[in-house]
Amino acid sequence: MKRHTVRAVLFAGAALLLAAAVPFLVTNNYLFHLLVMAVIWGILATSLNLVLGYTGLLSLAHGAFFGLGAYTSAILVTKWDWNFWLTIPPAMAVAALFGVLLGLLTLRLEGHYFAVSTLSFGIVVSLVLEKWDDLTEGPRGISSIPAPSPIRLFGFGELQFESSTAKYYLALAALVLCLLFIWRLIHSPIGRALEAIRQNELLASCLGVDLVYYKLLAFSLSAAMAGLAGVLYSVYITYLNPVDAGLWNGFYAVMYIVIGGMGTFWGPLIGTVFLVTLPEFLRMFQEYRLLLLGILLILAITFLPDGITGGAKTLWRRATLRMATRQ
Amino acid sequence: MVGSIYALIAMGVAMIYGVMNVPDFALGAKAMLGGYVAFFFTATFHQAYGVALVGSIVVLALLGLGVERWIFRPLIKAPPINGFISAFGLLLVFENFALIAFGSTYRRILSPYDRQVINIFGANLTVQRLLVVIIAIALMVGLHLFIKYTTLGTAIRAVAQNRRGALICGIHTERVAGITMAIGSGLAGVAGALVGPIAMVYPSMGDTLIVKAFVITILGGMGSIFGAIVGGYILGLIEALGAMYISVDYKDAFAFAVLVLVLAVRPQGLFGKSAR
Repeated sequence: MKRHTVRAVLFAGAALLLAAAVPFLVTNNYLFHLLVMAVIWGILATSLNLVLGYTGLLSLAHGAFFGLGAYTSAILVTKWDWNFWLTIPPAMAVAALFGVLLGLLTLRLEGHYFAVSTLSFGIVVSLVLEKWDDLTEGPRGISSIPAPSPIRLFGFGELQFESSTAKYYLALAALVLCLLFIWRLIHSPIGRALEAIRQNELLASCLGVDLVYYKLLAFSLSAAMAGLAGVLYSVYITYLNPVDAGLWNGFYAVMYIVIGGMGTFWGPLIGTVFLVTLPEFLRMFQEYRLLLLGILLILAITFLPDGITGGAKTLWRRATLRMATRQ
Repeated sequence: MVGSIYALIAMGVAMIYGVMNVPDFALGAKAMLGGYVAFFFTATFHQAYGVALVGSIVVLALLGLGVERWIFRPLIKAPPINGFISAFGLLLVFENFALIAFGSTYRRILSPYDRQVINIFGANLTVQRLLVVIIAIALMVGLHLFIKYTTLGTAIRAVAQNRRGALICGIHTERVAGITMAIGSGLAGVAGALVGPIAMVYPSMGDTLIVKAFVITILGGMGSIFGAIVGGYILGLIEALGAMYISVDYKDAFAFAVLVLVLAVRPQGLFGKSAR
C-alpha cells in the first residue's frame, strides 16, 4: 500500500473508533442529540459533496431529495404498515428517480442557472408535500413514526432500535457505508471523469467524457444518498413536516461543505460536526446564537476560503516547513 | 402590482450579479429591513410616507456600501461559491437581527394612500397599489436612463462586461461595485417599503421575495436588467392567472414550473446571451 493510503486508513480507523465511543463519552443529552443530527446531516453533506465538491455542480435540491426519502419511508411505514427495513430501497429509489428527472431537465444548464432551477425544484417539492393533504397530512406533518423493527440475530437475541443510542449506531453505520461508497467511487474511472468535468468541462467533453451521462450518474447517486439521510432522520426525530423538505436543509448542507472544505473527503464531515455542535457552545448567547452563527460564517469564509481542512493543510505545511528550516 | 415588487428586487439581483458575480441572497432580507426603516419613519418619527420611502432607500444604500466594502470586496479572488455563502451568512445576520431588535410581530406601515380607492376601467384598486406600480416603473425607467446615458452608468456596464478590461481602461472597479451594491440594496429597500402597507412587515418576509427574485433573474437571463423587469411582470401575471384558473393552493408552484420549462427550451433564459 502507498504511504498516503496507510495514513488515510489509520485516520479513518481513529475517527471511527472515536465516533463509536461517542455514546460512552458524551453524557449531556442535548449534545448527544446534536451529534446524532451531525451524523445524519453528515450523510447529506457527503452526498452533496459528490455533486458539489467532486463534480462542481451547485445543487440546492438536496433538501428536497432528503425530504422525499424521509416522506417515502414514513408514509410506507405509517400508512401501509411496511417493515421499516423494506422502505429504505424504495425511499432511495424515489429520491434517485426525481434526481434523474430533474437532472435530465437541468444538467445542461450552466452555473447559477442550474443552482436556481434546483432551488425551484426544492420549493415545488415542499409545496406539494404541504398541499397533498391525503397522502402527507399537509402542514400538520406525519407524527409518531415508529422506530425500526428489531432485527433477529439467530441465537444471539435481538437488535433493538428504540433508544437514541441504537439509532446513533444505525446512522453511523449508514454514514460509514456512504463514505466507503464515495471513497471507492472517486478512486474509480468514474471519479476521474467527474474530476475532469469539475476542472474543465469543455476539455473533458473533448477527451470523450460523456458529460450528461456522468453528471446524471453522480446526481442520481447523490440524490439516493440524500434520500437515505432523510429516512434516518424520519426514524430518529419520529416527526416530519414539509419544512424538513424545504430549502434550508439544502442550504445548510452547502454551508457545511464549504466551511469544512469543498471537494475534500473529510471536509464535509468536519464542517457538519463543527457547525451542528456549534450552537451548543454558543448557548450562553441565547437568542443571539443565529446572529453569531451568521457572523462566524462570514468571517470563516473570508479568512479560510478553502474551509477548515484547507486552512489546516496550510498551517500544517507552514509548521513542517519551519521544522525543516530549523534543522 | 406584485410583479413590480418582484421586478424591483430582481433588478437589484441582476445588477449585483452582473457587476460582482455574486448571487446576493441577502437582498430579500434587505427588502425586509427597508420595510422596517419605513415603518419606523412613519410610526416612530411621524414622517410622511414619501419621506419614509426616501429614507429606506438612503439607509439601505448605505448598508449596501458597507456590505460591499467589508464583506464582498475581500472575496473577489475567492471561488464564486464563497460569495454565495457570505450572502447566506448575511441573510442569517439580518433576519436574526430583525427578530431580536424588532420582535416577531407583524407590523403594518401606515400609508394615507391605502384607504383611498379609485376606479380605473371598471377595476377598483387602492391608490397604494397604483402608487407601487407607478414608483416601480419610474425607478426602472430612471435606472435604465442612468445606466444607458451617464458616465457612471457606462462604467457599471463596462465592469459587468469585463472586469479586467474595465480596470485597464482606468475604471475604479471596486468603487463601481460599491455603487452597484448601493443601488441594488436601495431598490430592495424601497421594494420593502412599498409592500409594507399592503402586506405586513416581519423578519422573514424577505425569504419568498428573494427566491422569486432569483427565479425572475434566471427567467430573464442572468445579469440582464431588461430581462429582470420583463421576468418580474411575467411571474406576477402567471401567479395571478394560475391562482384564478388552475388552483390557489399551488399558486407559488407555477412560477417554478414555468422556470424549469423555459430553461429546458432556452438554457440561457429569455433575454440572456448564450455562453457558447
